[in-house]
Amino acid sequence: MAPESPKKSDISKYLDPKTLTKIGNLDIKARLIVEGYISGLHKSPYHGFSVEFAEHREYTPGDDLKHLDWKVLGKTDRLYIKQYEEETNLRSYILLDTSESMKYASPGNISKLEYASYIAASLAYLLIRQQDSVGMVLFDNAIKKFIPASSSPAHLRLLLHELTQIVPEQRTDVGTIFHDLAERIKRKGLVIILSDLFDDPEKILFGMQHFRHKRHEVILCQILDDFEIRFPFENMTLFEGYEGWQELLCDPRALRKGYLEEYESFTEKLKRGCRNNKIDYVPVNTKNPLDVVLSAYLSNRLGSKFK
Amino acid sequence: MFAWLSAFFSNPALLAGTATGAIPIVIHLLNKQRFKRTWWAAMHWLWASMKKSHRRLRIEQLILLLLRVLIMILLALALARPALQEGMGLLGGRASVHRVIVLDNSYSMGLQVGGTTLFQKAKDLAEKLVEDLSPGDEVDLLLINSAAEDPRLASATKYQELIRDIKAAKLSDGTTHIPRGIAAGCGLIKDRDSKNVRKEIIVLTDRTRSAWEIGAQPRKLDASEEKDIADVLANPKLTPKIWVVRLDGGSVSENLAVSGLEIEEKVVTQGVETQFVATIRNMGTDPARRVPVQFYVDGEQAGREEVELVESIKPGTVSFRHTFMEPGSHHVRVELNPDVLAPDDSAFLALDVEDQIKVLCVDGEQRSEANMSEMDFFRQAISPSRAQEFNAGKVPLSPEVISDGAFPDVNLDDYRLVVLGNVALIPKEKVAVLEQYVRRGGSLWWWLGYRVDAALYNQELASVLPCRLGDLIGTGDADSREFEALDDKAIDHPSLARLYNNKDLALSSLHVYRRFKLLPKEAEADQNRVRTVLSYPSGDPAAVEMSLGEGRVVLFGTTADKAWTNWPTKSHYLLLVNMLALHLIQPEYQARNRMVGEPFAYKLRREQFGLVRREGLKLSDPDGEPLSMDIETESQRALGRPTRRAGIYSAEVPTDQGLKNIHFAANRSVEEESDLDTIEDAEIVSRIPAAKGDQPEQARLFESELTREHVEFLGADFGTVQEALKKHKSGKEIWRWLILAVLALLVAESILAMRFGNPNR
Repeated sequence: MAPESPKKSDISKYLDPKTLTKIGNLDIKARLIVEGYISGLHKSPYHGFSVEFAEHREYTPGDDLKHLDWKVLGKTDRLYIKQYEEETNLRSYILLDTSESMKYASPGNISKLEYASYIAASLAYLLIRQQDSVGMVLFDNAIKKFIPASSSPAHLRLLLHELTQIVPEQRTDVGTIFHDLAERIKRKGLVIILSDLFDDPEKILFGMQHFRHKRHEVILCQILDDFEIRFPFENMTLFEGYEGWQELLCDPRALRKGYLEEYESFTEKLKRGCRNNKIDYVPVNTKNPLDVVLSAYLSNRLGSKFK
Repeated sequence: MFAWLSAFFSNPALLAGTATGAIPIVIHLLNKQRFKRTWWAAMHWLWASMKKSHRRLRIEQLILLLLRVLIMILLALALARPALQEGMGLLGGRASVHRVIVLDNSYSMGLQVGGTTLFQKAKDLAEKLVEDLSPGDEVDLLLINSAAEDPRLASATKYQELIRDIKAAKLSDGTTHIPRGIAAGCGLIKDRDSKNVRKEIIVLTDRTRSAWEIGAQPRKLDASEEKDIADVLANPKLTPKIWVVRLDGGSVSENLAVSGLEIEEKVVTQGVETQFVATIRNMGTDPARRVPVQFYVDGEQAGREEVELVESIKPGTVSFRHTFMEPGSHHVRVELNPDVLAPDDSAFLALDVEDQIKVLCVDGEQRSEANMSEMDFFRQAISPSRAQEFNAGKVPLSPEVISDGAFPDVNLDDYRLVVLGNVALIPKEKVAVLEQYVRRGGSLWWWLGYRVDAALYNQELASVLPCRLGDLIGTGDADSREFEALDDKAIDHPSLARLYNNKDLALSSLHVYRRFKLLPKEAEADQNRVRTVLSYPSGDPAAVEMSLGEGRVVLFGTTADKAWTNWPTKSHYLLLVNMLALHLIQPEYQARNRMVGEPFAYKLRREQFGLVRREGLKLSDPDGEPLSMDIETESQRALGRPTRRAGIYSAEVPTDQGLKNIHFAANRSVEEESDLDTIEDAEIVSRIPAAKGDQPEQARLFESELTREHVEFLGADFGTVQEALKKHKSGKEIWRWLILAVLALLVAESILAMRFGNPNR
């Protein structure tokens, strides 16, 4: 018998990245995120994705009436819901940027990498639970780890283990990597990219186009720290750059406008490029709860089902 | 080295504050050193922003830095209180001025130099100083001399009126007192208390030493004058800059002055030759030979003498003799030929010629037999019939003898001397009248005798007695060999000078058989007014004199007749009583001879008082200008204002017989003002403290808080004075504008700093 799920309000708190840091085990974290997320939905999300009937279940209030088995109702005058076998042929790849810039965390926040790791873990958990196969790629300016997709529960443990072993150190070179990966992932599937995308937007979009060319569905998650989005520094500051950038001493107030313009123009370019290439672009602020990406994933899935 | 800065700034030392302009730069540099460190991932956006705004940022920072530096510098400049100079084009301007011109019109300014007087030169300079002013300035003119009642001539912003006043200003007959002039200027500045106006005192005077010190004694200021100076110095807004402009009269070789005119005998009598003595001083450097001296009586020339004045300053005397045939008020004048300093070439004297001087003798022991009454001998000694025997000439003493019983009803105003002999008692009310009589200038002479009770006298008459009476000494028996003689050697009373060392008139032959012991009064103040006239070899006083008010009282411890002495039988007695009587009688005209600056007084007789109160007393000065005199009820006299002009004044006094002409004379203080000895600027400076609390190198010239930084000495040409005035500060103070600019810059700086720092702009 499955362990009794924690109450909705209790479990949804695990969507808060700060709360999650207190939990050591990534496995549990992933589970909590997913459970927490699901408990917040009005209906079971992973019912109805599959096409093959699996079994009947007694109707409970809240179930969608479109899944009601009218035939059984006619025969037995009882309310039964049809349940389906889930699709198992979805191959997903989680591409996780482990470059040095992902280490950045503003005071009181978790680092972008940690945040991305939680997302990766929870996605992997969710996917494997749905018996989809999931693979993972860790990269910086090269592919550091390529774990082919699989749907076995043991595979989940492998993925989670890999996520705990990441040491960020190199520069990002997203464009080249995406071309490589587009070639290496043969079967069409879902590609989820978790990165701060600190690279030339043209190159990034070019890589995306390659994925699309290979008929992959792509969810592009740009993970940024709140400070990187708002640039709220006040005092004279010496900014020491990751990834070999030269340090800069400046009055941040004076540069804020220019910085925010740069940020806007970058994301605008990215957004437009993604829209043109039918790519889901998901901007993520590490300050916010983790469910944004999960929602993006689910809406992507739903969208692809009803295309 | 930076003295020129003081022409542009009130507080040039505060200019050092402009160095604070470096503060914003230092802060800027320090800020560059103080920063936080942080690791940062999105460096590409930061660098892109940096490259884009680098130039703009540099300009913004520079603007802010410049503003801050400017604020500090302007603030320091404002504190240094700069002034725009005239002639600086549109920017130029001048602050309003309150200028006090102190014009010395003491008579030493009448010195003739190059066809004009120093005073005329000073007036020209004063005019230019007034013309030099601009609309909105204030100016006061003070005429400084000891003669002026109110030194303030005019204060006006209507300069033309003031210039007219300056042109009309006359030399006075008073003396100079420069510290007092400065104090008066300070007082005026304090009273006016003009806001935001520079204060200036310009003293125009000569170079005489007497303006600063008299006989090596510095000129004194009274407490209120010292306070006036201290008050303006204590308040920087009131503190004036003082210039003493000293006009040079050069070295004076020939300057003679009449320094005195006196009568040998105080009491001048009708028909008797009177001797006048004029003192002439040579105030110049050259010897003066055969100096003609003119003598005038009642305006008519009455004599001419010559005098040799070889040594400088040392006085020479000239005597004139004149017999007045008419009783009443007369005046005399002594005059030299005019020299470079004309005012001091004459001296004046007003006097009364008496036909008779009434003496009241109160006899306490009146008898019908000849020479048996108490006052018989005394009356004969001073009476005119015996006067031929007195070699000093005719003395118009006119004695009148009454009994002590009649005394209370007598009007004492008719008599110049009251002699009381062996009077047992005087009613209390009469004692008060007697005291008042003496205080107003009357004289009193006491003889004692057997009717006198010492205790009663001490109790009832203490106020009009010069001493207390003690025990009776001696037997009173003329035949006995017990007597006391007067002491020859102890004579030092001025009235008895002729008896001194005169063997023919040895006082030791005057014997006393009985006397009261004379004891000094207990109160110390009384003792100071008392002196011994005659004494015995034992040291006991035989006669004591006391001054009381304007009159005198003398007391002999024995009798006026032969009862207790052998005096009436000796010729000495005649001499003694006449000399003493003349000494006691105060000529009334003395209060009518005064120095310039002092007031005249005229004693009114009882019967005149009412008339004068009703009709007033018309006094006219030497120029014929009418002056008023106040009537003092208590002392029953007319008191004038301080005199301004030297010369003969006259008044018409109403009497029972109609108007009577009375003369007054005012003389210049020749010792003070005619001495044209100069004092150098350097000496004056060395006798003023360099700074507050310091002691000058030499004896202080005057006691006040004035220091060298307040006073500057200048030569007398207008160019020098104008230059000095300009140097002081003829500019318009602009610190308010600077403060406004600082405030505006502060606002601009805040707005710009906010704007430059705002990321959302």
